[in-house]
Amino acid sequence: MDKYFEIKDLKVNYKTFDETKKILDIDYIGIEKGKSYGLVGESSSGKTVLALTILQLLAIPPGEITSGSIFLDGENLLEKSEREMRKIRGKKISMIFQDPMSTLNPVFSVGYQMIKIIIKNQNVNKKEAHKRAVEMINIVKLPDAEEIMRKYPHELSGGQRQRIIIGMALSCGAELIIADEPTRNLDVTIQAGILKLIKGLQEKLNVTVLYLANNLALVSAICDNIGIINGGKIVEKGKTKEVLKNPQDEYTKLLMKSITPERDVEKKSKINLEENILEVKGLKKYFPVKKGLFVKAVEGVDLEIKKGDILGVVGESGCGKSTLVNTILLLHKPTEGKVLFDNKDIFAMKKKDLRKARKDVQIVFQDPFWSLNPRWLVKDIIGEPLKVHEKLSVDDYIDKIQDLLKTVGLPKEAAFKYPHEFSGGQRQRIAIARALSVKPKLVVLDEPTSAIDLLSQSQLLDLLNELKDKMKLTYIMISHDLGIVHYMSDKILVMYLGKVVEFGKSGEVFNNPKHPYTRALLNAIPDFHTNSIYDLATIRGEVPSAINPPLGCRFHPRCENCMEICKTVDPETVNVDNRLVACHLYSNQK
Amino acid sequence: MLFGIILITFITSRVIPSDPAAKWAGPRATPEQIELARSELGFDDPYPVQFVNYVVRIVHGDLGKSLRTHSSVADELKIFVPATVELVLLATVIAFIIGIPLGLYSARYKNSLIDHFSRFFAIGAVSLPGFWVALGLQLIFYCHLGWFPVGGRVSVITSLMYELPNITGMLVFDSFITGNWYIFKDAAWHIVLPVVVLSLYPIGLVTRMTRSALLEILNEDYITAARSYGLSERLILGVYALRNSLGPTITAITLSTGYTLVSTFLVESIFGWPGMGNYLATAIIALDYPAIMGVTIFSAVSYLFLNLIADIIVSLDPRVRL
Amino acid sequence: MINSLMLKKVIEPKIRELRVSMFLLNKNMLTKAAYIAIIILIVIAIFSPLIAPYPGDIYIDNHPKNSLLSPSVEHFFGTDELGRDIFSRVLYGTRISLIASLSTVLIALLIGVTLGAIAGSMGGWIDEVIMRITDIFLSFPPLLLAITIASLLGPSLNNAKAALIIAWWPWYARLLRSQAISIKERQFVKAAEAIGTSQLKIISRHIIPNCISPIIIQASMDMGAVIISLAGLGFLGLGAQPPIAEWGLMVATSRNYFMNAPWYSLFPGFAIFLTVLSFNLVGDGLREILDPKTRKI
Repeated sequence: MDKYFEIKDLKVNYKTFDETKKILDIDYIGIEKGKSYGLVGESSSGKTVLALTILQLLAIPPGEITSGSIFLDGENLLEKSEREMRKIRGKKISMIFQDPMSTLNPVFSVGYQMIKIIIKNQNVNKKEAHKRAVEMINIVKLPDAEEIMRKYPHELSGGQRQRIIIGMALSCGAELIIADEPTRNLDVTIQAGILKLIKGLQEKLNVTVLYLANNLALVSAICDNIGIINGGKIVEKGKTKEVLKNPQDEYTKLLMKSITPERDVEKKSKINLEENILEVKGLKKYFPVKKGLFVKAVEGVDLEIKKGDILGVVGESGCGKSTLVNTILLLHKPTEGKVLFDNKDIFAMKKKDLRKARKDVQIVFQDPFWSLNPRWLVKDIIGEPLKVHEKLSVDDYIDKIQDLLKTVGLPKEAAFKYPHEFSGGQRQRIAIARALSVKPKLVVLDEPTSAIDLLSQSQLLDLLNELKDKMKLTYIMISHDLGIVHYMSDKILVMYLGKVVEFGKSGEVFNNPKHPYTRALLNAIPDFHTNSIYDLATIRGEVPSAINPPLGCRFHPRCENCMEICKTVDPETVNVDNRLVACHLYSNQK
Repeated sequence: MLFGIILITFITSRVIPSDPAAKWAGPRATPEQIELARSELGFDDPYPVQFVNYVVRIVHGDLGKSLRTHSSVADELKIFVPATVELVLLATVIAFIIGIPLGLYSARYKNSLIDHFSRFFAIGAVSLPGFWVALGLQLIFYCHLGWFPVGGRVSVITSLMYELPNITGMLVFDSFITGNWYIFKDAAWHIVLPVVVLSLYPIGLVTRMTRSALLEILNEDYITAARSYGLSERLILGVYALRNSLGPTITAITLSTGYTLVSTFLVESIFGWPGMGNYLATAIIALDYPAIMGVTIFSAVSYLFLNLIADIIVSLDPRVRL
Repeated sequence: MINSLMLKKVIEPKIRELRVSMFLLNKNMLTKAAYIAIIILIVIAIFSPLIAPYPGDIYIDNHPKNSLLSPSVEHFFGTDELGRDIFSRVLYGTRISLIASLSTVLIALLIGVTLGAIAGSMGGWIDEVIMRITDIFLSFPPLLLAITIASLLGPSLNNAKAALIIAWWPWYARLLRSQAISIKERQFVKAAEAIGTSQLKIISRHIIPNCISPIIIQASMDMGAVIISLAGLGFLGLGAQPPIAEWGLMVATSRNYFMNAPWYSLFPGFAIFLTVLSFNLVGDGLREILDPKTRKI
C-alpha cells in the first residue's frame, strides 16, 4: 500500500559558477497519513532544500532537480505546473519556517498577513477571516489576540513570532505540514512549549507532519518515525524507538553520542588548589537607552575562577552572559564593580598597563565566518596579537605563526591562504591559533562550536582540552549547548536576566540543580530518556525586558516556587553545600 | 541644514574673483561710480554685517538684484520657475509610470528577454548625454521630419492670437484645466521633445533602482513564505513587494528629480524653453552672481524640501517607528 | 626585509582571487565587451596624437578654407568651423575626458573615503561634525553645486574639475560611512579591539579594505557620470575652453552650425555616449560579481 506522502529517488544539485554540488540524494521517505516523521541532520545537510523542493519553491537556477518523484496522496508534485502548484501550496501543504523574523513581512501587521492567508485558503470574506485569525491566535496559546493582530513582527518576541508562524501554517488548512527546524532560534525553555503545541495540534487535527531538525533527542520525543540525513543522503531510517535502541550507522551513533557525552569523572572531580586568576565583584553594566532608561544587562555579578579551570557560563538569550564577558574583556566599561585579573584591578590600570594586560586575555568568537577578516591572509590574522604586543623580525614572525598552525593541527601552507578557503572547523582553529599567539593566561570561548558540524565539534573540543593542559590555560566557555558545557566545564555559572542564579561544580549542578530556573532549564532539554514531549518542562511566560526587570527576584513571575517574599526582595547569594544560589528557598540555610 | 546652505552660498559668493560692484555699475562705469555701487550694494560693510544682512534678506525672500537687469532676482525667478517645474514634473511622472512596472517585471522574470532588453535600455538611457540627444532629436524631428517644433512653449501665432491662461504657470496643465483645447494641443505639441529628452535618464534610473531593490526583496524569506501559503502572485508582487520597496523607491524619486532639475537647465537652452535653466545660462555668461546664487538657493531649498517629504514618507515604515 | 620567497607566497593567493574575479567578469558578454571597450579607449587616449590623422588640428592648426566639410575619406568625421579634422579632435578628446574624470574621481574618493571611514568608525562627535558638513553639501542637487562653483571660479577645465571634486566627495563619504558602521559591528573588528590593535590600524587595515567593494562599483559608474558632467559643464561654457578638444565643448560649438553641418554634433556626442556606456556596463558587471549575496567573499 502506498503511503500518503512519499519521496522516491530524489536528486537535487546546486550549480555554482565553477562546479555542481550534490545537495540531495534521497532514496526513500514515506509517511503515513496522520503520522509524524522526523528527518534529522545537521545544518548543511540539505533539509531546507528538501522542504523547498517539495513545495517547488526552490530557486531553479542555481538549484536543479535531476531526478525523482514526490507523491502526495498519489499525485507526483514534481510533474505539476506552476499554476497547479499554486493551488496545492497552502491548501494541501504548508510550511513552518525556521526563522520567524525573516518569514514575516516586516512592513505589514501580523494580523494583516494572517487575514490574507485565511482569505486565500478558506475562501471567506474579510470580516470572517478576521474572526478566524483571532481564533487561531488563541489556538496557538497567545493571549490578547486582538492586540497581537495589530502588532508588527518586530514588536513581538521570538517565541510569539514562532507561534504566529505556526498559526499561519495551520490556518491554511493543509493536510501535510513541513516543520523546518521550528525551534532553532529559540531558547531551550521555550522550545519545549512550541513543540508541545505542534504535537498537540497535530493529534487534534490529524495532520501529517514532516519535521526537519538537527536535534535527535528532540525529534525522538515527538516523531513516530525518523530518518537520519547526512550530506544529502539518508543513512538510516525506521521507527524512532528502534533506531535509538539499535543504531546501525556510524553517523547516527555520532549524533547520539553528542547528546549524552561520556565524561571523565576522574578528571572532573579533581580539586583545584590553585589561586584565582579572575575575580569579579559586584559588576554592573547598564546601557543607556533614553533619558533615565537603561538596559540593565548585568546586575551585580560576583564570581571567581581558579587557574586551570574551565568555567561554563550558561543562560538563555538576554541573560547578560555576552555583556558580562565583553566587559571582562574590556570591550565595555563597567557601570560599577571591580574586576581583578591576577590580583590586579584592571579598570584602575593606566592605558599602557592595560594594553599589556590584554595580552593575557584572548577571545575566540562564535562565528568562524566573520571573526576573521576575510581580506586578510591567515598569517596576518594569526599574527595580529603578535604585531601589537611583541616586536619580532619577519623570519621569527613567520616561524612562530607556522608553529601555531602546527599546534592547532593545520598545515604550514595555511598561512598564505584566505579564510574562505577553509571549512568552519578549520577557521575556528585559526581563531584559536590567533588567541594563543601571545601566550595568554585566560581564553574566553564564546560559543566556539555552535556554527560547525558535529564531527568537527568533538575534534575541536578535544583540541581545546589538549591545549589547556599543554599551555596551562584557563577557559571561560559560554554556550547554550548544555551538553557541551557539561562535558567541558569544571564549574558552571547560570545566569538569568543579568544576575547569577547558581554557581557550582559542573557535575553537581547538573545532577542536582538547586535554583528553580536551573532545574527548569535542565528539564527542558530532551534526551533519550524522554518518552514524550509532554514530559519536558516549560517555563511559563517570556523573558522580561532588561529595561524594566521585575522587582524582587527577577525570576519570580515565572517561577513555580514563587513565594511572597520573592516578589519584593532580591535574594542574596548563599552558599549551600558548596554551591552558590540566589534564591529565597535557601535563604534560611545560611 | 538650511543655515548651512545659506552659509555656503554666502561664502562662495564672497570668494569670487571678479568684482560684483563693477559689474553692477556696468562696463563703462567710472571708478567713482563703482565705489558708489559698492557701498550701495553693501560690499564695504564688514563681513559679519554683510552676512547678517544677507540672511535677513533671504529669509524675507529677497534674493538680491540681478547684476545684469537690475531687477529683483526673486521676481525674475517667479516667472521662470513654473516652466522648469512643468518639465521636471512631467519627466519624473513618466519615468515612474514606465520605470516601476518595467523594473518590477524585470526583477520577477530575471534573465528573460524583457529583462535583458530593459537592462540594456536602462543603462543606455542613463549613459546618454541629454544635451546631445536634444540636439539629435531636434535635428531629426524638426529639421528633417518636421514633426515637432524647434522650441518654445507655444507657437508665436498662438500666443498672439490667444491669451494664455496663467494659474500655475504651467501651460500644459493650466490649459488642460481651463479647457482651452487649442492652446492645450499647441503647448502639448511643444512639450513633447523636451520631455522625451529629459525623461530618458530618469526612466533608466528608476528602472534600475526598482529592479535591484526588487531583486533583493523577491529573494527574501517572507516572499518565499508567502508563496508557500498559496498567496497569489498578484498580491505578492503588487502589494507585498512594492510596499517593501518603499524606501528605495522614494530615494529613486528624490535622486531622479534632483538630476532632472539640472538636466533641464542644460536642455532648456536648446529648446528655447523659458525656464530657470535658460535664466541660469544667461546669468553664467554675464557672470551675474546674484542671479546665479538665486537659482542655486532656490533649487537647493526645493531639493531640501523634497528630501524632507521623502524622509517623512520613509519614516512611515513601521520598522523605523521603533 | 621581506625576502623574495615570502613575497611570492604572499602574492599567490591574491592572484588566485584575481583569477576568480576575472573569470566571473568575463562570463557576462556585455560586461566583457564593455571592459574591452574601455581598454581600447585607454589605448586611444594614450596614443591619440600618434593615431590621429591630423595631429596638428588638435590644438594648433586652423584651416579656415576647409571649414565644415562633410565626412569623407580624408576626414572621417568631417571638419569643424575652423577646418580642423573632427576625427582627430574626438580621438584626442578621449585623453582629456579620461584623465580629467580619473583624477576627479580619485581625488574625490580620497577625501570622501577618509572622512567617511573616520566618521563611521569613530562615531561620537567626530561623526556628527563630519556628517553635518557632508549633509550640507548633499542638500544640493548633484550637479547644481558643481555648476555654481564652476561659474564662480571662472570657466576652465581645471576649475570644472575642482568644482566636481567638491560636489562629489560627500557622496563617497556617506557611502563609506554607512559601510564602515556595518563593518564595525563585525566580529573581526571586535576581535581586533580585544587584541588591543590601535584605532588607526583598525580603520585602515580592517574596516576600509572591507568597504572597498561598493566603492569600486560606485567609482566605476561615477567615471561615466563625471565624464558626462564635465561635458555638460563644457557645454555650458564652464569647463574646457576653446581650443581644447573636449567633447562637451565640441557639442556646444556645433550648435552654432547646426543647420549646415549636422554631423558636427553627432560624433563628439556619440563618443561621450560610448565611453559612459562602457563605464556603466563595467560598473554594473562589477556589481553582479561583488555583491556578497551572489558570491562568497
